[in-house]
Amino acid sequence: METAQQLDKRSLGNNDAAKDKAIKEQDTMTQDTPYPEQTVGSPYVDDPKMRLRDVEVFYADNQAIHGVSLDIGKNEVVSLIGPSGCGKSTFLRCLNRMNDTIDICRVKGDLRLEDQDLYDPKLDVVELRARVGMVFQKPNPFPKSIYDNVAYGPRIHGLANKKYDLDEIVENSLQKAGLWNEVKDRLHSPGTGLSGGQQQRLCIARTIAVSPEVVLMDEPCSALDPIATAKIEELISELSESYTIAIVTHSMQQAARVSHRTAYFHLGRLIEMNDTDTVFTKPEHDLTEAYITGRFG
Amino acid sequence: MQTGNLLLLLVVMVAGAYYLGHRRSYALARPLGGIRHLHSLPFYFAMRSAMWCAIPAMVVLALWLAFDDSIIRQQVLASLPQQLQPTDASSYNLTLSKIQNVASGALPTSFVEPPIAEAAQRLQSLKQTSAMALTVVVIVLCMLGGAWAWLKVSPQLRARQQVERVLQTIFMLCATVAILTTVGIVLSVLFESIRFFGRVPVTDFLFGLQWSPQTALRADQVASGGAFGAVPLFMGTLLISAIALLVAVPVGLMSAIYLAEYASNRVRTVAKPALEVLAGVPTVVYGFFAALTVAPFIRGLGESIGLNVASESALAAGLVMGIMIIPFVSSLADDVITAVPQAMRDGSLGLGATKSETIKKVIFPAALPGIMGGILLAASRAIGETMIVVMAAGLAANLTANPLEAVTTITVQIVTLLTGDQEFDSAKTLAAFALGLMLFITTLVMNIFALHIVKKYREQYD
Repeated sequence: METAQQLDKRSLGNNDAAKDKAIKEQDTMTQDTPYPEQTVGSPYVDDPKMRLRDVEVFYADNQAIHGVSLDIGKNEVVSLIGPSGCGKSTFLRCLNRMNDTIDICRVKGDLRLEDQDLYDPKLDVVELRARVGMVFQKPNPFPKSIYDNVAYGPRIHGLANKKYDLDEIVENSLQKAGLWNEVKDRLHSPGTGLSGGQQQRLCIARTIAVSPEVVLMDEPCSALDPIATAKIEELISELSESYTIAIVTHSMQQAARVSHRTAYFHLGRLIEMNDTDTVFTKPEHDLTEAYITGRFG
Repeated sequence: MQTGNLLLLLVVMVAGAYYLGHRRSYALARPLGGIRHLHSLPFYFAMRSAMWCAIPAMVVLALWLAFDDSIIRQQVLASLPQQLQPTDASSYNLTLSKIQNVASGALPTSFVEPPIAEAAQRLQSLKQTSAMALTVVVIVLCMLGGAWAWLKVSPQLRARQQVERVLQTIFMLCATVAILTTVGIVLSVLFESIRFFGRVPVTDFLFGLQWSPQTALRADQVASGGAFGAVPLFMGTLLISAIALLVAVPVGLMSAIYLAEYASNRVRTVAKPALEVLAGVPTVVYGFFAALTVAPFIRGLGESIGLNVASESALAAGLVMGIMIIPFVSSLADDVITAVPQAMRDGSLGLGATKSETIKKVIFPAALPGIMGGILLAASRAIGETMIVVMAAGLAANLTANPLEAVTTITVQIVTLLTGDQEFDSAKTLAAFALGLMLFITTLVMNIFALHIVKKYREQYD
């Protein structure tokens, strides 16, 4: 923790020597590899769904994200990879302002969903979160019935006037999440009684029930077994036809399987972003190569 | 030796046994190559020695102290000549206190019959002998136990298991004390109540609408015959408790939600203890606050809008009692709301729910059991509360649902029935036990009912 703080203070002062020294302390595997001046690869796309520029995040005086800029294209699956503590989850949580729930967290930079500034003080965060949904690391179904879990979002946003409409939304969402056949006979039993993989698909169904435009997934498979993981990955590929998806993952195979583009984060910086194939076959930056070849992480 | 000194000596000996056991286990372990060759850690060998030293001696000490008085008394009384032998309970007590007074020197020997004086001397010497014998027996047991344990210490001895088992037994005994006490209280109240119902029919008590317990103590006294209808008391209790809960539940719950969900850390660290101080104010202080400030204020307010308010009203007592029980609701509710996992909040907020929607639809149902627990605790405090009602709601057993009139409660009547000089065989004093029993049954039923509700509506998270 102390070295991280030192690192942040020094890098804020733009002291290159100190920065290099701090990196040495932090990570001996990459001691000779300086950070790139700018993100290598192609972080930007034409006509992005989300346009994120110079994002910086602070926890109190501790800087967690240093000037990250990237685009997320329409109906694209973007995966964020990197070693633990590199700020991928923090960055993801900026995209629907879940970081607001942490008192000491401050976000700077220009973050836009289409033309909407995410951190506009006039923005209704409720509306934003309906447009940008989130699936969490640990399945967190509410202690309610399966039906009520999925109907929760539509109810609070008034998406259904009649019971019939609501039933339809619930069925559609469960079907999209590939859970319908497994639970259609027990919609009114508690969601917490499902298996871990089913719970996570329930959470995905709950998220897409409010018809978001973007779905953020924070390590959605890290608590699941391989079979459940395979189901979720399949689901992500299907969902990308109608949604824009950003996924944080620790599994490089998963990133390679599900995403169109991959972003590599290192200690709060975006090192490289490119087509997934390019990142995994011809990484441009040494840090990226070191990580994907398993030299650290 | 005096019992206090004996206990001190016992503590010293137990400490010695602990030390010796510890030393011996190390001494045994050294040639084997360290304490890892012992079956248990030296601590357990030492504990085992200490227990062998302490427990037999303590048991004997306790039994001795429990029974030696009555045995000595019997011996002394048995030595009295036939004509001085007590015939009934009161003369038994009289003779005994005479002997004891002579023995302690409060009554000169010249005032009593010679056999009594002799008995007193006998009592004195028996007591001395008993104390001596006790000292010897306890010390010998201590040493024997300690020595036995010391001799038995060996690398294979399963000291850990034995110590664990003894500890388990001690914990169980402690739990049993609490349960047995409860059973004892219930039984004693029950038997006295049965005596009461022998004089006043159960139906009169349960359904009677008149409460006026004053009965004649002597045959020549002028007093009413007494009426023991408990309905007005129940109504009074319910009325005041309901007012108190109407104040405490909303205020307590909402302040808990504020503290748990909205307040900044700094506010929380100051506000939560400050709220809990409310529970620490003695009820008698609340009582005079109710009687001297709130009740006159309510009466003045009532008069200004043309209502007739009694100077001691159920409303005043209920309001102040409500303030008193706020912390029971708020503190417990705050704890359970804080204990709801952050993942639940994130899930709800991530779907675009507002903070209040999240609280209403996710956090509150998940925290319901704890919240109900707090409300129950508050309700039983309200029902059992006495002092505020004595001071602010009065003693008049009016059967009314009007909170502006004076009412009285079960607890207040128990107090008035049992304070002062009383005989414990009149219907009036026995009524207190019947009221106590009713109160106990009421709270019990309420608890069971609430548990049932919680089971039905709880949303369990994991």
